[in-house]
Amino acid sequence: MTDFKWTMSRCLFLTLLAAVLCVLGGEFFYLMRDGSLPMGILLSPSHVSRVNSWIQTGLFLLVFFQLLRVFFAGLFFIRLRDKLFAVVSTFVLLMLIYGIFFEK
Amino acid sequence: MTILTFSLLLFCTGCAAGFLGALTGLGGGIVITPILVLFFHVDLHAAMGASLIAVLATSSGTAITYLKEGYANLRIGLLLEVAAVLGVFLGVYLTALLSPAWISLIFGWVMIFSAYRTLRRNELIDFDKSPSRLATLLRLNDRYPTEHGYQNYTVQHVPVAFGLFGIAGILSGLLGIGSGAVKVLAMDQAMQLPYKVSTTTSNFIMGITAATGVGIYFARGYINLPLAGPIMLGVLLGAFIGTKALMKAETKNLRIIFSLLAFIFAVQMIGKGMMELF
Repeated sequence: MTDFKWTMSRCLFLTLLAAVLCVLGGEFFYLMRDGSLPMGILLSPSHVSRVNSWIQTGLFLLVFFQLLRVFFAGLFFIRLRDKLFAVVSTFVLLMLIYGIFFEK
Repeated sequence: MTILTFSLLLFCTGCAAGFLGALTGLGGGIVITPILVLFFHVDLHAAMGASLIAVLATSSGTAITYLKEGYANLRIGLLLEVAAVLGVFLGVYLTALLSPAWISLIFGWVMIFSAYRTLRRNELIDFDKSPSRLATLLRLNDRYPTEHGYQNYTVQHVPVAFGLFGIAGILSGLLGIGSGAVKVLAMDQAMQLPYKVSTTTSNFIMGITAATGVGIYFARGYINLPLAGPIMLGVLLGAFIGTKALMKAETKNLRIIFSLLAFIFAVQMIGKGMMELF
């Protein structure tokens, strides 16, 4: 069980690190290019499309991190043979996937 | 002000919000929206989107440490999350129906409630109380590490907490916040969990509630990437420092500061909502 917890926290850590690096890189390139422009431009909808896709990837990874957490929680309960909480985790995971990808 | 200066200010704001969020279990999102709207004149929906990203970041920044340290109760968190995610869908649906003025008003009152609950929070728990039958059946009773070794605790009033989490979910979807105040209320007052257990469990699951609404916010164009980026980075750093501080921190003074700030912002948000309405 300790090995599983270690693997779980390592996976989560790496996902979070990747998310941070993507946003950090994206912000760096974005500020290098547009940093000297007035702040008002940042809030205009047309400007958003000019933003480096790295920031978007980083935010996607942050959302993916939440999916991973629930997925690992489900695995954790399966290993413990706790059927009820394995079902609860699966339900939360499905609702999360529905909310992120399908609900508009 | 240039975009560079603005981004640095957003980063610092995120840092402070993440730190407070990690220490109080409130997620930090609740201070991001009023700061963006009142001081930087950001559109309310874009501010809510950025706040939702801040909640995700606070929760992510604290999750790994809290689980490793053994404070967060995974069973309680996931069980109550069922009610919260269902509430989020209803909350997001309401966002499209209510005008920004009404959302500002509701936001202000939720902030006042958060400030009040944070001040009134009771850290004394009766550890000898017998657990509720449902909590025993679901194996929710657990233990957590203290200075003197592990301390067992029991769980009370599970259905009440479940209902409160449904309300927390609605508020989260409607206002783009983690609804930590309601979640902590459910765990502190209804379930009677120890302070550190409810704070860490609240932080742990808050990101899952927020993530449910992110896709919908994104699809509706409420998430402004250059706004959300620096906030996310700042919140993650603040939450990471806050997590380390929580293990040893005396949180009373911080809670007073947080409550005062929340109260001031709340009055301003209510004022803004009233001005727009009348």
